[in-house]
Amino acid sequence: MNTLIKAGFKSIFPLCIGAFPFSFIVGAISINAGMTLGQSTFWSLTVFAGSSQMVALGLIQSSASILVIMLTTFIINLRHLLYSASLSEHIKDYPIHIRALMAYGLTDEVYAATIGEVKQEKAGRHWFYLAAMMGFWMNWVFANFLGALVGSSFPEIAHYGLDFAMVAAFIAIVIPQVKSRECIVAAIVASVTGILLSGLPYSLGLVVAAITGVYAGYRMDISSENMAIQAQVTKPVEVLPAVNSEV
Amino acid sequence: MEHLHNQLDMNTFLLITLVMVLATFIVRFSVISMAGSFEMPERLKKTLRFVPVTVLPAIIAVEILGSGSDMEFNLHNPKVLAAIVCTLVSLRFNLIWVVISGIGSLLLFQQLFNLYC
Repeated sequence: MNTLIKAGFKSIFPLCIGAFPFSFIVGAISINAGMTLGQSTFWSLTVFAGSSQMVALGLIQSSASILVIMLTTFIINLRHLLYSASLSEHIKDYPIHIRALMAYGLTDEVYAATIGEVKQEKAGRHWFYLAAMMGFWMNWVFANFLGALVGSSFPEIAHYGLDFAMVAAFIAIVIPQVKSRECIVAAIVASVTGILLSGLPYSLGLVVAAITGVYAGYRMDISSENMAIQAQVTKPVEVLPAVNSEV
Repeated sequence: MEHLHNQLDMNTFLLITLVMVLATFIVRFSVISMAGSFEMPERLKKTLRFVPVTVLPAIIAVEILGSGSDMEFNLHNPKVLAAIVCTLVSLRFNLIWVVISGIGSLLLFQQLFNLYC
């Protein structure tokens, strides 16, 4: 068990370094959005979801309603459905309270660091997972605390573009993910919809923009798949005549 | 910029926290709670990959350009220029460098516009 806990900590360590500045920035911005040092730390301890926290801070600053904050958090976290589905296959024999605890800490980073080990379905793998999760969690809260401390020590920090730090962080997160043609179309449709509907109250435009963008991506997937099927049908005679003549 | 420092009252804070904990946990626990007895359709799995690449660009666009009648889409908006810098930096470097270069270039562009415009 001790070896598994050590291995868990070791596996999450590099990701902790990567997440540290992100959480630090979340902490600093949260002060900007009106939280106290204690509130900010408690918030990171309980919510434990980086991009949702960052987005929520933007929404709080623009006085969005509670309903929009909830809907947006839900939408942003939808990708975790994939992790939940993937993990459930390998931990189905554990009692419900262990599974609930594991689900509570299922972030992008924890998933990435542990899924390889968990997939092997060895005994005691939950120790490995829980150690990685706790390590990441403590790092997350600590970095947030330091960021909030810096943010509250320098109140004038708001005038030096701290809210732009959030935009910059989003750009850094999203650019590596926009790879395929389908993703580019989805991103553009969502951005344009978001801009056009930015006058809607409570930032509702963002929710509509996300749904419209995802739908556009879905339609792109369907048409790409249809084109692939058609290309396959016509391939032997039209697309690859050279291969045909060799046969 | 003065409005940024209004304090969040305790009830609003607790409500936001509770709502976010629930929204986060429900998604993460959804399939795990039904472990073994549920298989997500392939189509849904594939479509979910669009979620982050739509939510974030929409927020970025609105944050940079401003909303409603305050919208400012031109090269005299220092945020547009700083965002272009961020995008270029993000092609090679990781998050912390993108943030530093973003804030740095925003301050620089703001100074330049104050001097020359």
